Amino acid sequence: MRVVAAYNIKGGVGKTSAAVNLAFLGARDGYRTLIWDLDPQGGATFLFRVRPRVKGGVRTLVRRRSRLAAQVKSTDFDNLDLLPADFSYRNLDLALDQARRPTRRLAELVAPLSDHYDLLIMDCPPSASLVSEGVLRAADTLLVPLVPATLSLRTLDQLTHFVGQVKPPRPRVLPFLSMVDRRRRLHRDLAAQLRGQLPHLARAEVPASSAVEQMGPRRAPVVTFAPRAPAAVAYRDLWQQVLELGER
Amino acid sequence: MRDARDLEFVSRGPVGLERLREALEPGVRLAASPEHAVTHQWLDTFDRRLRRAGLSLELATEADPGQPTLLLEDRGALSAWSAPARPGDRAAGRRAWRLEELVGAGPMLRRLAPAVGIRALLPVAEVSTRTLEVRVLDAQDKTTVRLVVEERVGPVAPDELPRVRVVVGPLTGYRRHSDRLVARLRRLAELEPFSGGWPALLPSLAKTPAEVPAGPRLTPGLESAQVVRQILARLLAAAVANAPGVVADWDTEFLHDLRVSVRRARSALKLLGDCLDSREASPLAADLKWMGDLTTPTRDLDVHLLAVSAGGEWHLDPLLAAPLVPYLQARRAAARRQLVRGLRSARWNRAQRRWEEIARPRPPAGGGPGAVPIGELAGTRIALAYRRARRAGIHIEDDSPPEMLHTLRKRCKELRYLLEFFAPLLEGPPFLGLLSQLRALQDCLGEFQDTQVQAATLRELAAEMLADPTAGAEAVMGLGTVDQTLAERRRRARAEFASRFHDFARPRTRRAVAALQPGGRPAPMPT
Ligand SMILES: Nc1ncnc2c1ncn2[C@@H]1O[C@H](COP(=O)(O)OP(=O)(O)OP(=O)(O)O)[C@@H](O)[C@H]1O
Ligand SMILES: [Mg+2]
Repeated sequence: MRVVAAYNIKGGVGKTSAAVNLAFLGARDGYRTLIWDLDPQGGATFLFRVRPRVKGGVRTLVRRRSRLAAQVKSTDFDNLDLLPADFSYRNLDLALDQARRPTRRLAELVAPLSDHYDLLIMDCPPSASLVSEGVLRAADTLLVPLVPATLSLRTLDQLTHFVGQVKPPRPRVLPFLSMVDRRRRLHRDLAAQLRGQLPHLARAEVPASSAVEQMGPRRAPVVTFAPRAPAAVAYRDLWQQVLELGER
Repeated sequence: MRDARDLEFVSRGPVGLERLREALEPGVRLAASPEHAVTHQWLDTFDRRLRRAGLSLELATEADPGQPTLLLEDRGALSAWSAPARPGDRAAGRRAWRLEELVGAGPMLRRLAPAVGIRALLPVAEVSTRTLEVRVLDAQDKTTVRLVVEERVGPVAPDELPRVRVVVGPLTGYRRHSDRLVARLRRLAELEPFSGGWPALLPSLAKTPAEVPAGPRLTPGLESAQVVRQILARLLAAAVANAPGVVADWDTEFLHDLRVSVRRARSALKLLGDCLDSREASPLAADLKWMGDLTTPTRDLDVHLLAVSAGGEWHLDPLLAAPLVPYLQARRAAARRQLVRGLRSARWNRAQRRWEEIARPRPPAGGGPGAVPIGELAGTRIALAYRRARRAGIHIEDDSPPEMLHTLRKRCKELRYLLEFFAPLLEGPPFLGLLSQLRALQDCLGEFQDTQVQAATLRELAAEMLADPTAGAEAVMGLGTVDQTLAERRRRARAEFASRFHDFARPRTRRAVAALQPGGRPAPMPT
């Protein structure tokens, strides 16, 4: 099972948008796909129209009182299931901390899913917490959206440092440019600068686009309702690149 | 993911959206697609490998060209995904796909490849429907249940009624909703609960094309001539069933299986033909030799192409295989042209008619050489074939010429065919013991000879490619290591021979042959 996490310490950079679209694209290509919404805000859960609720909340989940698979909800798309968020996920850190081997807990919870799924996409809350550390140990690939901004490079450095601290096997980091507004001089310059400094930056670049914003009101991945929009093309390209990276 | 098996109903008359609404609780919100035409094709290999692996693969194509959908049912769990196959493929009258063409390089390839192997996927059944898709929505407009109404269009055979299916697709995490819906649908008088999907309504899906009516059960008392005709009839049916796949070149197994049928028929005539009229049997024997020879060049090239392909027997570096593959393919194309011409020739037709004629069932003759009960004949012929094989091998020493092993291999094949022809008469531990010893010996002899043939081919190929300015010399270099590997395999097979033959020839096996007793009477002890 491939495990891909959309992750950045920073908020509002396009993690959920990428996670949701890649999950759909994977499912369409025949990957039995599960998207796990780890963010108590429940962005991905909302976009797939599922009620944000996990029976027994986060504690039951972490203590493995109930199997993860029992909480799964089918989305409206073939091959694509969702593990919904729950408001109690705000206490996930605490719950993990009380578990044995807290940083390995998520990986342990995820392992049995590989009987039913070929691809797991984790949509993470913005932070550098115990949850994030758990995600780093469960994922084979980290998808990191970078908005063209002065501090982005520094954020990526922090993140790379954070990844370097976890015990191997470590995930591969695939940063990509997100919300790029080519009409803005500053964006063009910063994008070029980031590209120059980061040789492993994904070739796909998700433009700032009203089609992506439409995902909220329409509650669906942009690749389903505006497949020809440049952002949709970019997500397909990004998915291709994730595939090319292959399993760890 | 869709849960386990869909819950389904059938109906003899149409079921419209309005009728469905009548069954549902008031206020349930539905979203319905416009009715559209869908063609469903179930795909499997010629020998039904998917079905035997418990899998069912459906290709659903909408008339309004979009991407076709593939549906895989794997022990009750259903997954659906877009087929990479271009929609035009079906319109073009496509009759066969390679697995990768159909499912792409994704995880579906990994799931299906072990079952499918090198075979092509062929449509084994087809249904066209007018399809209505209905989704039951909750307050968030989230689908909680999927409902599909399919009405078959076009001619329907009387045993394929009813023509309407109503399918409730339960969704993971929303089981309660679908259970409630099913309970409501049960109230509609025209709906009958059902299970198994269209495949259960289509007799054609249950059959294997190569399956031949078994004919009268093989019993020791039948006249030998009758049984030999029956064996020839079965082999003919298999040959005929495989011929279209050879002509169309769906996959290489069609030719392989055709050859096997021809070879077995030849052996049947050689070993048992004396119970038939020789005026019939001898011309057919000549025909069968010609038929077999016709198929040889293409089959040899198929074997080489498989050996050089990725993951093939020669484990060739892809870089080295790259120039070799087109070279072999060009030669194969030329060989195939000859083959197809032969298959369509008057000579082939004449041979086939002769085969049909000799295989035609006839009433018992009551006398003559063909009237011997098969039980008796089988026993003596098996004992004879065993004796011949034993004699062919008994003088083989460590330094004997390879030809002696090749001859022994032929004798073993003859024994093997006899055991297979008469298997229904022979069941039991002595039979199984003999068969497994024979198999082990045959594997060893096969490895010994095949590696030699391959090495010879390899050298021939190398020489040809060196002489051919378009072929590229780098391909030739890689062949040296393959040659070494083959030589090593051959050496190992030769070293194993003595002990394999010893097991086959020892007194215990001889006693097993004598104990086969297909006629209820012990066969003479082979000497
Ligand atoms: N390419 C884009 N163009 C325009 N708007 C975008 C784009 N990508 C995301 N957005 C918008 O930006 C907001 C944040 O996006 P998203 O939820 O994907 O980010 P996030 O990193 O998951 O945020 P959070 O850290 O809060 O989880 C959303 O309103 C979304 O619609
Ligand atoms: Mg988010």
